[in-house]
Amino acid sequence: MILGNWGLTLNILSMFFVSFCSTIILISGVIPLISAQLHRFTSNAKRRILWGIGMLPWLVSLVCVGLVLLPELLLSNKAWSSSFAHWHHIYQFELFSWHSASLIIFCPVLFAVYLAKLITILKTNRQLHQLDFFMEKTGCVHGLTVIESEQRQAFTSGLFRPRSYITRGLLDHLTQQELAVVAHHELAHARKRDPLQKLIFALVIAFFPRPITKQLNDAFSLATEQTADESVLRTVNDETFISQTILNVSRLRNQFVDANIQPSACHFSAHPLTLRIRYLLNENKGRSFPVLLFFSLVITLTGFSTASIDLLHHAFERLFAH
Amino acid sequence: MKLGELEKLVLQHVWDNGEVDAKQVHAHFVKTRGGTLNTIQSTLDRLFKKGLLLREKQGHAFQYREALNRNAFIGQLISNITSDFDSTNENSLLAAFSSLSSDLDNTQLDELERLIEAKRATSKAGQPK
Repeated sequence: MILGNWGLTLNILSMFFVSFCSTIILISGVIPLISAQLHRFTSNAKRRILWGIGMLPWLVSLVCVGLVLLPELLLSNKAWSSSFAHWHHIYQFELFSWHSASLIIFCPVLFAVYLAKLITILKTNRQLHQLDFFMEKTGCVHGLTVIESEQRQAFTSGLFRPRSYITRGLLDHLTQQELAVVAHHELAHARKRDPLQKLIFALVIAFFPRPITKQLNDAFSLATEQTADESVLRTVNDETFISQTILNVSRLRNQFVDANIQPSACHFSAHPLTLRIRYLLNENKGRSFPVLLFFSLVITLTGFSTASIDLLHHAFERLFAH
Repeated sequence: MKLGELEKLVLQHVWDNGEVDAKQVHAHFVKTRGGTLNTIQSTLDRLFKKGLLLREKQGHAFQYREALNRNAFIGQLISNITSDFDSTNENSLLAAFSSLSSDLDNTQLDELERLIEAKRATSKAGQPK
């Protein structure tokens, strides 16, 4: 048995784990419903909603731990709070208990998930450094670094100092106006530090079930593209020209990749390119972030999750030994 | 592909100078970086094993030349970096103007073109004459 502050720390982690898992399960149930409604919102609202969903398990679990822990630590009369949720042994942590088993599962999973992400970051960074080392410095156009290559690509990468690139193969096929669209789009990604945001978002939602993680990452990726397109729209002010440029770049890329284009993994109507163009052409860009709905969801989930700490605790102890 | 600092410099040197042997590469780098002939030999050997250099024995020494020119190598690097941006990849760490794989075919792009045309026509019709 571990006593004192170490016991308290391990109990907090154990509480956090129980609350985190129950919140993930609860949110996973409603994510398909939320995803189906995402198209009704502006690209900025979509980003906020997705960040909100991603942060919910962390936020709710922290509030839960606070709700269970603070009365135990601070109040002398705990009768009212302990009727809702309580922890019997706040300064004692039994090594051979289900609390310990839950931590033994949680900690390696946490470590493995973040290690996998770290490896991806290192791999991408190494490739970018190699690209920087070998590419001939032929300068910048419209703020985009030109890479002497026949490939037809424009992209933004780099976590803390994002840079936007365009290949000579694409540059040579674009008119000045089309180049301005591509440049505005990529520089909007760089200004918003989208590569870093994508990474943090992927880390935050890493504990959802795999199909949900993919769905959320895809939605976030699409929202970042739509935000960048909207940013271009504020400068260029012609949605048909921006849409046409997106289409032209796709055609140019298809010509280069040629006959071996892999069939799209998703249906035409749900393809990111279709959704980007439809969003641009739609005059009504959608609703803003639903603040009231979001806070109602936070309060409801916190209530459920705090109750589940107590419920699960007692259920486990009834079914198995402590 | 993981390349060390010296490997990158040696590869760059081969691209700039064409066919070289270990002694020539060593003579070039000894002034700027120091190091032994052995280090250069093993670096060239590693680049050969990674498929970036070709070699041919001439007398007692190997002559090395590029297996892939600079542009092709950079193209490969860009493909690796941007293939990360794929709607099926959840580890994507970049934002690309258009994705590299799993893209729409030309018929589907034509359908989008018609959508843009329709919008253009509606906008023109709505404009005051």
